[in-house]
This record gives sequence, C-alpha cells and structure tokens, in this order.
Amino acid sequence: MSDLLEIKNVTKIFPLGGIIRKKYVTAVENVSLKIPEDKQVIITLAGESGSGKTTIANMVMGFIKPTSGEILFRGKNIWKMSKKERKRYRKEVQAVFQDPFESLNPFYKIRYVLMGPIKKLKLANSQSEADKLAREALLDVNLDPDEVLDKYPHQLSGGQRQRVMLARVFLIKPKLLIADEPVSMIDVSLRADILKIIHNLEKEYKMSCLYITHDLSTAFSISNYIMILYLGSVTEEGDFETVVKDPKHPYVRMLINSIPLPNPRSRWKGRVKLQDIEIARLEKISGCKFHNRCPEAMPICSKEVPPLIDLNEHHKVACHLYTTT
Amino acid sequence: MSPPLLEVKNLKVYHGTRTLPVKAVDGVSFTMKEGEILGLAGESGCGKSTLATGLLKLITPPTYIAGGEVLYRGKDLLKMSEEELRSIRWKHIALLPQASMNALNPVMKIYNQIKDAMIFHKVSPKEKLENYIENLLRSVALSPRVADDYACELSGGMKQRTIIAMAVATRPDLIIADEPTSALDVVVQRGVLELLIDFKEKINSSVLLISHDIAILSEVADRLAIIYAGKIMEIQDIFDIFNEPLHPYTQGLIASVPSLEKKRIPKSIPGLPPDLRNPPPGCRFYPRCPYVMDICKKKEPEFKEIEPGKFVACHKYS
Amino acid sequence: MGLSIFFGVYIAAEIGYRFSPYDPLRYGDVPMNLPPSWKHPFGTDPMGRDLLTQLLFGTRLSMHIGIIAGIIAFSISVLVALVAGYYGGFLDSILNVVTEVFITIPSLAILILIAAIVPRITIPIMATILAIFSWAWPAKVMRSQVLSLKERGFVKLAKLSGYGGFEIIIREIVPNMLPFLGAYFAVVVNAAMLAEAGLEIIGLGPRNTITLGIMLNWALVHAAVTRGMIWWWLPPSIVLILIFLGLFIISMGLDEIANPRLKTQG
Repeated sequence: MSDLLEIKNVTKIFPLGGIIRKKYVTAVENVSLKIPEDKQVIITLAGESGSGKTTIANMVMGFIKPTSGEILFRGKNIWKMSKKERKRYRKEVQAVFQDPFESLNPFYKIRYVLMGPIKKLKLANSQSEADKLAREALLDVNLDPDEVLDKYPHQLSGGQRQRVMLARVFLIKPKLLIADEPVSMIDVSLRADILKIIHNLEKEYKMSCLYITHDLSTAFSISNYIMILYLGSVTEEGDFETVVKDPKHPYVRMLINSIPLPNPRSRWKGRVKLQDIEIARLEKISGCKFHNRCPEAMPICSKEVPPLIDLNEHHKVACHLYTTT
Repeated sequence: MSPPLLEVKNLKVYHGTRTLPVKAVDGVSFTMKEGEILGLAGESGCGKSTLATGLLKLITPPTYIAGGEVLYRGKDLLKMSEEELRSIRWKHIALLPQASMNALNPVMKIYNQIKDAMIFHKVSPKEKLENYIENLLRSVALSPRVADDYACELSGGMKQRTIIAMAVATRPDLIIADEPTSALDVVVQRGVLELLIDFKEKINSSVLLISHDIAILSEVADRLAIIYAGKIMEIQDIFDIFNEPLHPYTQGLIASVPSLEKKRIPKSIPGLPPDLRNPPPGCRFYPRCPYVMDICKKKEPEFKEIEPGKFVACHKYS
Repeated sequence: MGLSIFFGVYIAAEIGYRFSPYDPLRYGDVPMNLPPSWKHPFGTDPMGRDLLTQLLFGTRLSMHIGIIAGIIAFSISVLVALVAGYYGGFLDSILNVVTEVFITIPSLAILILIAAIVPRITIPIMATILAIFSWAWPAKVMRSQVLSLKERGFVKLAKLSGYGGFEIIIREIVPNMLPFLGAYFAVVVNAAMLAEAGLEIIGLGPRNTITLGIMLNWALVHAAVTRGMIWWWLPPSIVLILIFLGLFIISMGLDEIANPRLKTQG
C-alpha cells in the first residue's frame, strides 16, 4: 500500500528579483518524508528561520510547486491530479496556521468559516445537516456554538480563533493535518488546550499530523518523530526521544543544548560561541550547509553534500562524521 | 546600610481610554539589589511591558503614572524632572524595549548610530571614540567590522546584540530587558542571554529580565517574579519557586510549560485573563483558581513576605 | 469625523442640483447680458440664457459625465487589478505592460488630440475618452493591494476549503478592498472631472450642450473676465472647486478607514 503522503526528493528554488543578475535562493533541497497510510503519526518538522519548513508546508498544501521532486498523495503526484482528485485531496489534507487572526477573513462571521468547506467539499446534504455538523465540530473543541457561530473574528480571543480553525478540521476529518506553528502565537498557559486537541485528533479520529515548528519543547509533548532542517536540508531525523537524548549532527547537538529547559537545576553548561557569520542565506554554500559554522568541520564538508544515512532503524543523520567510506 | 539599587513601591501605570482606564500596572512592588538578575514572568496583557517603560517614565499619553514610587538608590525617579531623568536613563539604567531591533535606523551606519546615542545622552569616553565603539562591539561578540555596516544588513541576532551593546556602553547599574530574545533563533537566544549573565558577573550590573518564556527565565534568573493582570503574585528565589511554587497561578504556569526533559502534555489554566478596565473584585486570579475560597472573591489578598525572600499575594497564606 | 460632514454636504449639494434644473428655461427667451437680478439670480449670457439654469444644468451634466467616465475607468481598473494581481504569471506581465503604457502616455496631450480630431463630441464619446486615461494608475495601486491580500491566511484557508480562484477573488479579496475601492473610485471620478473640465475649457467638449467647463469656455470666449462679468465665470469655477474638494476629502476619509494605522498615530 502506498503511503498517505510522500515528499519525494523535493527541492524548491526561488528566483529573486534582478533583471540583470538573477539571484536564486534554495529554500528546500532534496527533502524526503513519508507519512504512512496504515498508522497515525505526529511527525515534527523542525527548523529555525530559513530552514525551509514553511516552504515545505506550502508545497504539501499545493500552494507552491516544487522545482524538482514530487509530492505524492497515495502515490499520485498532486500536481498531476484531475479536478476530482484535487477535490479529494482537499478533503483528506487540511491545515492550521500560525496566526489565528490572519487566517480568518475579518469580514465574515465564524459561521462562514465552517460553512465554506461544508459546501465546497460536499460534507452535508442539507442545510440542517450542515448546521449540525458545524455545531458538533465546535463542541469538539470546547467552544459553545451559540456563542461563537455568529461572532466576528475580532470578537474572539487568539486561543478561541485557533480552536475555530481546529473545529474546521474536525468538520472535514482529513487524514492528514498540517499544523504550521499552531501555538506559537498563543499564551503559554493556554497552549495545552490546542495540543490536547491535536493529540486527540490522532488518537480518536485516526488523523496523522505534520507538526511544523521551531519550538521543539512543545512538539516533544505530542510527537514521536522529528526531522530537523537547516537551510533547506535535512540534518537529522528519527525517534524524538533518541534525537533529543543523543543528537549526532553538530548543528542538532548545538540546537538541543541551547534549548532552554524550565528547570533551574538543568542549566546551560559553558557558553555558546556566537559568530558574525549568522547565515549569508543568499550565497550558495557548497557541500554541507553547516560547514562554516561547524566546530567539527573537515575538508570534505565544504566540498560534498553529506548523504542522509541510517544510523539505526529510527535514527538518520546527514553528516560526514558518520559516513564511513 | 545604603538603599537598594531599585525599590518599586506600589507603582500604578494606567492607560486612559474613552471609558474606564486600563489598569495595566496596578500596585506593583519589588526590590532589586546589585548584581542580580530578576526575572519577571507574565503572559499577554499582564502589564509587563507597561511596567518596563513606566519604571523610567518613558510613557506617552494616554498612558500615565497613577501612583507609586520608583526609588533608584533612594531617589524617586517619578518625581524627577525630565532633565534629571535623562541623565539617569541609559547611563545608569538602560532599557531594551521589546522589538528593539527595529529601533535601529536601517539606513544609517552602526558607528554613527552609536555615536549619536552617546552624544544624546552626553556620554564622552576617555579614549578615542573609534576604539571605544570597537571594544563595545567586541563585548557583545560582534566583529568591529560591524560598525561599518548598515542596520539593514545585519541579521536579527546581530541587531539585538548591537542594541545591547549600545545599552551597556555606559556600564549601567541596571538593564531592563523586555523580551530581548523573542524572534531570535534558539542558539542566538542563548548567546544573547549569556551576554546578560556576563554583564552581571563582570560589571556587577543587575538585569530585570521580562519575558513570557519561563524556560529562559529559569536558565538565567536568580529570582523570579510572577505578574498577572497588573499585579505581582509571587516573588521567590528561582530554585525555591520551582521547588515549591506558592501562588496557584505560578503553579499553573509551571505546569503549562513543556520540557524536553520529560515527555508529557502540559496542562492549561482554564479561563482567560481579566479585562483590566474592569478587573474582578477581590483576587484577580480567582475566576481561574482551583483553590478559590469565598474570601478570594471579595477581598484582594495582600502582597507580603511570608518568609524571608518569599513574597506572595494569596489568601492561602494569610 | 469632519470628513463625514463634508461628505454629507456634498451629497446635499448634489441632490439640490439634481432637483432644481427641471426648469426648462433653456435657450433664447430672455434679454441678453444682464447682470444678476431677482429674476435671473446669476444674470444671463449673450445668447439669452439664464445663467443660473445653466449652472444647475451644467453642474449636473458635468457630474454625470464625470461619474460615468469614473465608472467605466474604475471597472477597467478593478478588473485588471484583480486578474493581474491574483493570477499572476504571464497574464500579470502582459497586463502590467499595458498598464504602464497607459500611465506614461501624456494623457492630456492625447486627449486633446483625439478631441480635436473627432468631429462631433457626444457625451458618451467624452466619457469614454476620459475613462481611457483615468484607469491606469489606480489599477496599478489596486493590483499591489490584491497582491498583498493574496498572501493572507484566509485566502490560503479558502483554497484549502476547495474554493476556486474566481470565487476567492469575489469572496475573500474584494470585501477586504472595499474601503480602498471607495477611495479610488472618488479619485478616479475626480481625475475624470478634471480632465473633462480641462478639455471643455479649451473648447474641446461636446458642443451642443452645457456643462460647467463649457460655461467657462463660453465665458472666456466672450471675454467675461476682462469685461468684469464676474457673475458668469465665478459660480462655475466655485462649483468645480467644490466638487473636486468634496471628492478629494471623500477619498481621504475612505483612505483613513482603510488604513487604520494612520488614525491611531498618537
């Protein structure tokens, strides 16, 4: 059985202005990821600014076309789908975005947000059925339909808006949810509500989730698999706990060590060394993208791109330190 | 005994509106001594940014000081003239406001911006200006070449470090840093925070570090203050507060923070923060408090020191 | 806001003007060249026509022409902006070029040329000519609006919900542009009326009727200024200025609504 979603060797290069000298930015380079059909997973796609994670999300959602490589949904390239297949894709893959205010058109009431997909994706056969679906969805996210349906987005709090977005997902019941920084703009003490909903979607609704974030601590609470991107390339991926306890890639090691822990007894040891070369993103970096910041760089690192190899069944890394010739 | 570095007594900073004033900071009191990092934790709408600007009277209408004192080494900043205040700001107390990286002029060279700031605040170093600025940049791990760059050429982290460099140029006694690391990458964030620790350790400056991120506060702060709905709920030594958080809000806050150390889904605090135009009577937290008692709905709990170094405003302890 | 007040005044004036000229004193029945008097509050012109009636009629007509031209121009602008902005790519490039061309052509010069060439200028032709040269610049501005709206979260959400391009434009993008659209409509009408008045003053307008510009043209032709017949040329000028001012203030007011940041400054 083919996978639910396969991101296959996807690369995305953006051209940047300039009539005379066109410049290019490689946002994503040769990234592959599989989301299985038969079991539910929450996979974290992690990275900092410039890592390309949002670009990947946009490609999976069909907003941007990959420069090379394919996005396959149940084996079929989403850019080669018929209109009917596309509609089916929309039913099975949905998203929640980072900014709950941006995602809602200030002009329309919440009712509109929920009725839209019901109508377009033909989720109900009558108006009464549609109403019922919408109300149930809101109840699923602990929102009171009578209170919320006729309100405008600006009348709700950030957390409530985000829950409306999730209600929309409950409505559609996709097989895959792309969550792009779903809680980063919500107060810390209110994030757990959203996380719990996503967790439930996995357990009860058999929904897989591609959780995209820069905040590993939050992702760790609900996800079991992580892929860490740096400037568009995969550096390390595998079982979340393994990667956190024993990071192999120098960038990942530096990253994990610098994540603040809410425990004064586990404080950072030593000091991190900051350099000025904080990413010249527009310049093409040859070989391993991290080599100019890597404390363990070897001559080969600036020449050849390290391949992604299996350290063991649940742990892969792309670093010349581990490629044995 | 000399007066403490900073003593804030019952500070009130309100925003005027067409209806009722928003009581953003409503009776905040705390003390800071030299060479310590005091973390101030709070979520959106708790008043922490208003507090940061209010301490130095850097507020503009419709925001106004509604009462209280801010004693810097015994002298009330709020009662000083603008002239006197200006000599204290930046030289003795520096403010790193939120999103301060945007405070840099994108089309001016860094060198000139630092120079301008020094002229404005009447700082004249004994050495040659060029050397001074070079050393300044080095102190925040920036190459001196940065002085020749324009602000728009620098990354977020570099801009933030430049601002910090400018803020500590005069070796102030106190740095008020309001969310200095939001929008920065994790590793850069650590670097910037470690810079603040360096200032504490090397020049004995104090830092009032304001953030919503409990994790970063637990990495660098010596003591932690929790602010909710314009009032301080608890202040304790950082180890004590994690060991035994006193206020229910603190407990809820700590329980809601995920950690890489232990895999669990954090717990939310039910409800929402109150509207500061019309806060609830009694304790501001009572609608969300799992331990609420009758008295909490009627009488505001007093903020007091129940044991040396442990301050809390909660009826459970009175 | 004081702007709304002026808006109100403008509407009142408009309605006032509309009602009065159903007054069929049009041509040649009264003595000529009279200065203002009770019977003819603004006097009469050398061809025996009451000037007040002319003023009222002319204003109405000027405004009609302006508005019609505005509507045509506006429709073109909006269409171009939406299509170019939303669909992007090749279509966008072509439309951009076309827009740029129209912007850079010295419109008034061409207008004059056309007006001089075409033998009989009727009102529809006038409106069309005006429209052709007023649409380009607003289109460009609106396009950038569309471009930025296109990136907003709710557009993405609509796509995910299965909405097609056309539907997204109508449902998501246009409502968020309404204040802008209003402001730009005012601007376009203003531009059209300016051009109209300009053409007419130099004598290139429709010949068989009366508008404000034409009144001024007649006034100039008969040397009203030098002859001190202030009652002839002053009223139309003032009305024109009022109209321009009114439209301008409307567009500023709407612009403020569209850009709440300007409002909250201080």
